[in-house]
Amino acid sequence: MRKNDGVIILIFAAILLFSLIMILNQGTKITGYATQINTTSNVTISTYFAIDMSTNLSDGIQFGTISTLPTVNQNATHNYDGVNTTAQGSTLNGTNGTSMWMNVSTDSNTGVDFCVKADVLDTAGGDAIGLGNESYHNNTVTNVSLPALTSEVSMTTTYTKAGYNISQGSSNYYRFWLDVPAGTVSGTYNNTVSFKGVSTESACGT
Amino acid sequence: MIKKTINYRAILIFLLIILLISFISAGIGIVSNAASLTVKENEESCITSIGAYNPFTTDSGVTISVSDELKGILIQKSVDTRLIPAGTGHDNAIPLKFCFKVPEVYHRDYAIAGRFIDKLDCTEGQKVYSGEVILESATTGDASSGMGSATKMAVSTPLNVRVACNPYGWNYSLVYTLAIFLSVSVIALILLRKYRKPKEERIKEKMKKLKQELKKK
Repeated sequence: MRKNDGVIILIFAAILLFSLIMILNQGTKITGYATQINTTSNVTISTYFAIDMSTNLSDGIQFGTISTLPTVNQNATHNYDGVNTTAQGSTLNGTNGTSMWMNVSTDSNTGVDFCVKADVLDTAGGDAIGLGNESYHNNTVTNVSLPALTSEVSMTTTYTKAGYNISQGSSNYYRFWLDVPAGTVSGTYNNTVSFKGVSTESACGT
Repeated sequence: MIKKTINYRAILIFLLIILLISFISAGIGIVSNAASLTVKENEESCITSIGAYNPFTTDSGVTISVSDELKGILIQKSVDTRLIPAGTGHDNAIPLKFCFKVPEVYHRDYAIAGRFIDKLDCTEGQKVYSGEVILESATTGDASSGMGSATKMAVSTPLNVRVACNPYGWNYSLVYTLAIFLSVSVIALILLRKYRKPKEERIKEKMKKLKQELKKK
């Protein structure tokens, strides 16, 4: 062993010890002499809601066979075959409401906003009717006038609010209409209309 | 006669119940006990506080998904589809598990070559992935009798995945690691050189050196 080997070993042992201490202390912060005691406080806020569709809505929105072009505001077949929810007294058993609705379960703790979107009505062969031609309106009650054609809203490919703060045990009623422009190629046109329930005030999302 | 009337009434009530049930389709419910999850960069975190239930009278098949905003960081979800039995109240909701892993999203300063010895000061705002968990009915009305629209139903609840940022000063771990490696190597080399020969040989060498030194004097 050379004379200075002992010194070298001593120096590198010191470096080794220092590095080990520093690497173990990495990320440790000195915070002074402050002391603190923590106690936890817990609260869980739970949101739940459930929805379902009337049978006539879950069976699809049907417009039947159209043989005259152009056709404006063709009624969906179930627009007027439901119960009149505003009927009173002698008209208690009234009809002419829509039989297409979304229902909010009583096993919910929040109101529900409904959102609606659709894709393009087209045929298997690729012919299409522009989405702006299919329209709807919604209301929390239904009778011969409501939901109203005069308030119709065109379908869009992104979710749009179509029913606000529908409370537990209540329903949101829908009517649908279809315009078929002149020159539309004959065929069976189909699409999908999507309904989404979100807790009230929440965004519809994608 | 009275007995017959009662029977007719019972049948009528039974038919009415069947009629009412037939007007109710399968439904979906969603329970959310937490709308946010905090994750650390490069670490996996899971949330199980969202559940599905079905208080209606018909079993319901649902597809489970997250919105596009969360798809990039979702690494696992418990199931894709699930049958939610009829009569499942929110108290007995079926829990759904979603796991997320977020890559390094916060800007770090580097001292060497843009890769080594880093520092994270967390001055930029907290990164949040905002999206939603979506339960969608597996069945679709098909408007089979001609022109029209099939219908689909879904429920969703918002979910925010927040990325925790824990600031730290310059991280010299790499330097210390290199120093440890170097120190161990040097010490090992010296000791190896010293002890690689047998003891007798080492003593002889030592004696030889001493003689040479004495000669010089």
